[in-house]
Amino acid sequence: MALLVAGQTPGSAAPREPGSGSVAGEVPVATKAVVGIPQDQLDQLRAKAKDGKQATRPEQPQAAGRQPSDKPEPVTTVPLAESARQARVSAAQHAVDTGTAAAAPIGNRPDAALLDACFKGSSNGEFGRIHNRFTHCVRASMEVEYWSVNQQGVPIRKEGVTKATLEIFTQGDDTQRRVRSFARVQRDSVDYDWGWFDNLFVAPNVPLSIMNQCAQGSDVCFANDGAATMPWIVWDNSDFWFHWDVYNREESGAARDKVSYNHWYFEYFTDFPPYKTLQRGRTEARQLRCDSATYFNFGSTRYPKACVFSEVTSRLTYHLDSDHRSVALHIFGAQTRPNETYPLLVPPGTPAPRDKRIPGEFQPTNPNAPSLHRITSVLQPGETKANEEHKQGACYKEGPYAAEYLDTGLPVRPNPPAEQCDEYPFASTLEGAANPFWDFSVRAVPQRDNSVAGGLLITHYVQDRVLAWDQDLAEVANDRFYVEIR
Amino acid sequence: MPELVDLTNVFGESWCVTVTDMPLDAALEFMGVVESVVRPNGLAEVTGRLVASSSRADRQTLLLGKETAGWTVVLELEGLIGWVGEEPGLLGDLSAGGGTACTMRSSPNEVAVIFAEDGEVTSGLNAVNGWRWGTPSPRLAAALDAVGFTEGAAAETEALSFAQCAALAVQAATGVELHADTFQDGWSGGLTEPRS
Repeated sequence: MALLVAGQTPGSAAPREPGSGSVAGEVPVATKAVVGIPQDQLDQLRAKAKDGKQATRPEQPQAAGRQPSDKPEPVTTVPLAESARQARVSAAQHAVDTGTAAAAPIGNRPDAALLDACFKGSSNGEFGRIHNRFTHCVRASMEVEYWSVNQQGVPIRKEGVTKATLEIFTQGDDTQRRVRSFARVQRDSVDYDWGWFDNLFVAPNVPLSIMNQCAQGSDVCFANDGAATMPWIVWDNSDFWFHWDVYNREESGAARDKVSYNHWYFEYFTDFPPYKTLQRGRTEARQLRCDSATYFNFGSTRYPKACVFSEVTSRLTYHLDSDHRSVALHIFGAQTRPNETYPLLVPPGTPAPRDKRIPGEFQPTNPNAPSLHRITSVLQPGETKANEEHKQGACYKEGPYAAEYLDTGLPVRPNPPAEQCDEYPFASTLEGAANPFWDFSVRAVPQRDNSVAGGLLITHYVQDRVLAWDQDLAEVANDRFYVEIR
Repeated sequence: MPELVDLTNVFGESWCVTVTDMPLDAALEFMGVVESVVRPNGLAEVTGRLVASSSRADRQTLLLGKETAGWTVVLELEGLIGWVGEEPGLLGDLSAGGGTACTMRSSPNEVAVIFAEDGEVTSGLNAVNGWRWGTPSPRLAAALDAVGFTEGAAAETEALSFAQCAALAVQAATGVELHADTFQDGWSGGLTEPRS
């Protein structure tokens, strides 16, 4: 980023306006903070230090009220489709081995098990780690430049730089359109680079304020609670987690599930007198997707609103060495050797005009890999029934499509009740057997394997908050997922 | 008359209900329940297990049962290690000695019912498109025909949701009317023995 006075003659440059680190319409990127202190005030602090009189400093966290004018100009709301596209690209750029898990209850302290697992997992620098769709963590770099300023507030000399690592742990909520972010300075991470005297007697006592922000306007999202303020030395020796919430407004949502995207980030600054922030520091912004879908249940408990981290690709994992081995094997074959699956494209002995094309294989770095889109029997009964009828034709050569699959369907039908007809892509996807563009595969599998696989599938849909297809949204704006076989 | 229950509306897309004329305690024991007790908050218990995916770890399933109109109804909501009530051998056992048992189940991919009579599974149907398989007894076949379960489903079932179609099939087979209040709390049950 362009520093406050980089390349300009000290003492002559006009200070950058507070909070102007971003241009309207751009998502805030990580930036350094720049803080000014009048030269005479700084001299007084040094003098007091020499005399053994430390400046009064807050011993306890100071909670400042949130001031609307502190927030930089809101980022322009990005259309839903573009937000979704950005999320896909970002997910592909930052692909790591993530997991699926139910949203953990949100309390006043981070979920200990999730916290530990998230920070121990692989991550991508300032992007951090999306541990699952409801959990994110990052160790973000902080850097603050301290400048002495003249009576006109013009910076005249860089007095020092303080750096540290900010630990941020954020949990998505599966009951409301909100995330809760916990933050603290990583113990012993603060580094002072002022000069030997200031390193000991001035820099550690400088107060640091931290708070979170949502990037979009208040018509889309808002953050509660003001900044937490402590001297650098206290931050550096405290394990306490402060927390803030960012809410997404349902009114900003679009279409059936009221889907809305927003970004959030952390700001750090020093506005405790005599210091004044010339430019706030920011962490890299992360994107959220919030919705009010009504079809997520575990048992009798519904989850009608949620916010998830959108910069991660949802994938369902089935295992070859497992209690659903047959289904995993079937899908593996369909994804890797589709031409060897039933139904055939043409009857045996007839040259096939093309290869079978079966979507849904997880390709972590390819944001454009053909994906699967969830449908439900309630929202898409027609598609659901059509998928069943094609599956019935391909597996049993019965039903309205019996003739179509007479020569290309399974040569030996499944034998119920011990066996069931497994289909891929799943009947609960738009890409199922009735899809006019994509091909599909059927195979007889043991009843138990199919039953387990079905249980894992619905668990994935709920835990990863996989939204169902909405025809009022563009394809790129619809949620999607992939299947990975291990 | 109360409406046929739509279990997808109540529990989402994953559920399994077994109906048998075997008494409650015996049915639960057959289904592998180690110790059956009254569970006043049974639904909340199973929800907690679902959130934690407990059954993948302990290889057990919490079964909830109750008696209604002389029949036993067993509810399963944890499908992560397979539905107990869907196992053909077990369902056959629940219908032993001239009895009847059936299981309706739902996953995101399918809503289906299987029927066991006099000790073995004889037939089943797909509640989405009405497709039937197997050789039901004449009584059962006539009962299903009478409520409209013919090839591709008939007019009587067209107005119902897929989950209600499944409940209608169970009602036709057993005479048990399944309504929403049947699936409220008031259960007995327990965890099954661990399964591989």
